[in-house]
Amino acid sequence: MGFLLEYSDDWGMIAPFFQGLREKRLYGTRCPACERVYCPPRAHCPSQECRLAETEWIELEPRGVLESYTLLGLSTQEHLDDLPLILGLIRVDGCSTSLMMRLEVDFDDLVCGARVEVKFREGACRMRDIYAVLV
Amino acid sequence: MRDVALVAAGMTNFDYRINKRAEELVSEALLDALESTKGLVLDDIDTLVTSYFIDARQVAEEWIIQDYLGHRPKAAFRVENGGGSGASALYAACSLIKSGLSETVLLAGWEKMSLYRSRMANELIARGLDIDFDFDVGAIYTACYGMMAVRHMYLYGEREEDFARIAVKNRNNALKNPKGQWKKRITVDDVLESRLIAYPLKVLDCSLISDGAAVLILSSRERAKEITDDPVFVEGLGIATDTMRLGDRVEIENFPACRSASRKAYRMAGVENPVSEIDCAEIYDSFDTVELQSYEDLGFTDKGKGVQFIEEAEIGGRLPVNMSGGLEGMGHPIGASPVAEVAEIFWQLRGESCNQVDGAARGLVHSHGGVGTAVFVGIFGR
Ligand SMILES: CC(C)(COP(=O)(O)OP(=O)(O)OC[C@H]1O[C@@H](n2cnc3c(N)ncnc32)[C@H](O)[C@@H]1OP(=O)(O)O)[C@@H](O)C(=O)NCCC(=O)NCCS
Ligand SMILES: [Zn+2]
Repeated sequence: MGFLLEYSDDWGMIAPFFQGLREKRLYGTRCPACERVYCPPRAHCPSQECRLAETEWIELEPRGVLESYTLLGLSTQEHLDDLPLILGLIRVDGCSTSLMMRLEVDFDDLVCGARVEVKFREGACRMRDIYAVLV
Repeated sequence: MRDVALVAAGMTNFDYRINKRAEELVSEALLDALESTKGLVLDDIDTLVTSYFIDARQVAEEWIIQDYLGHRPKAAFRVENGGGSGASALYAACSLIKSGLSETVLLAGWEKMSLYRSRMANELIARGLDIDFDFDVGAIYTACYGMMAVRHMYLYGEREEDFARIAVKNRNNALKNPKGQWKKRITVDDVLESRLIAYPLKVLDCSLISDGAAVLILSSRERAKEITDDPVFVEGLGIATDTMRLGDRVEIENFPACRSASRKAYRMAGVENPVSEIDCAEIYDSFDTVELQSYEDLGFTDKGKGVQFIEEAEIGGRLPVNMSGGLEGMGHPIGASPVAEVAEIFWQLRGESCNQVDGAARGLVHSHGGVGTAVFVGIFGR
């Protein structure tokens, strides 16, 4: 059964993050009030005491820690050809949140807490275009 | 504020119900509910609160339902909160009655998922993940729950067999539920051998793709006497929330929002020790791992000790869970599921369940939407 939804990108204030992927750079945002760093980026800090303070862009080292992972036997339509697919939650160094992304690794080598490095495909502009490997 | 009574409950069989439209399923569940009352008629209902989840083929489907039931020109609206829609709709219905804005409320939940079959249903549900982040990398909900389970296994050492025992318990409970979808006795090996969806979750660790409807009728305590001799009362309610994206949380192995929601509900109901003061529970087992994690977050046992509670959750244990079969056994037509969970507790407390817990006088319902993004806990008593 076909199901096609067409829409334009909706990057809003976090466009610099997606533009950064094309240059193989990883950006996050930092709250000037509480100094938390967000990646996935947020244009405003959600900490209640920061009252939606506007955040600042900072470049992150594309390295971090694997918080958790899974091996998929089923995915959404656009990704079915990529199965089996490994996804992980990566806490980029210095960040208080984790980014979900693909892992190009041997599943049996994975363990929570492993060190990983983020890689960028040529012309990357969406989350599906970056992945992590074990270091 | 006024006390809220559940005065009637009804549901359809959960299954692939391809020969009935959503409004026909809701009518079937409603007629089932009205049958048990002292002659309550549709005219007596002043407000309709509805719940469904998938806005794909038809949007604003609640309008078809209110129209079909002839509920005009009375108040009606839909409550949407992901998989927790039906529970949030109950929360809204209770506040209407507590405030005096409504006297008798019909809560109706439904979903027709066979229209999409399982792969497309998964895709539509996955659109409740952040489209630009988690959805874009190919995640479905099962992937997020799988990652939560992997983290829990890493910290506390559960094995896939442990989760499988919950799937076996729930699916085998469903064999006693004539309205349940699952009809085959299974073993731990069946679960372990089923096809991988998102490690450690395999097909039999997951809830079902279902069609169905469930309804509840609620009223004030005073009005309840005219409708039934055997009402059930809402003693405690709690809703709590968490981030939409799993990765934005500090704690991904459990459900902090479940801890908050349950403590709110316990406080309202005066529950201090859930295991000794609650007789039975329906937990939202969208995946069997959620049931285990929720034993801990609901305070049935300590964090990391969920496995040891599985035997207590059997019929005959200290606190039986998912007597109906849960979402893995009874079925999971999303918008209807939380309503059906409450219906099961309603029947338990009236001694009318198909899988009755002896002398059940107080029950708990847990449900949630997202990856535990909106968690509901309700306590019901006689
Ligand atoms: C686990 C689950 C997918 C099993 O579904 P099922 O129908 O019993 O299993 P099937 O083996 O038929 O496979 C499911 C689908 O995946 C497809 N599929 C099977 N193997 C596949 C593969 N290797 N690659 C791609 N697709 C595959 C099947 O064709 C089927 O798609 P279709 O129904 O659209 O034709 C389903 O029960 C499910 O999604 N449960 C969870 C529901 C959920 O998340 N609810 C909300 C929770 S809050
Ligand atoms: Zn801040």
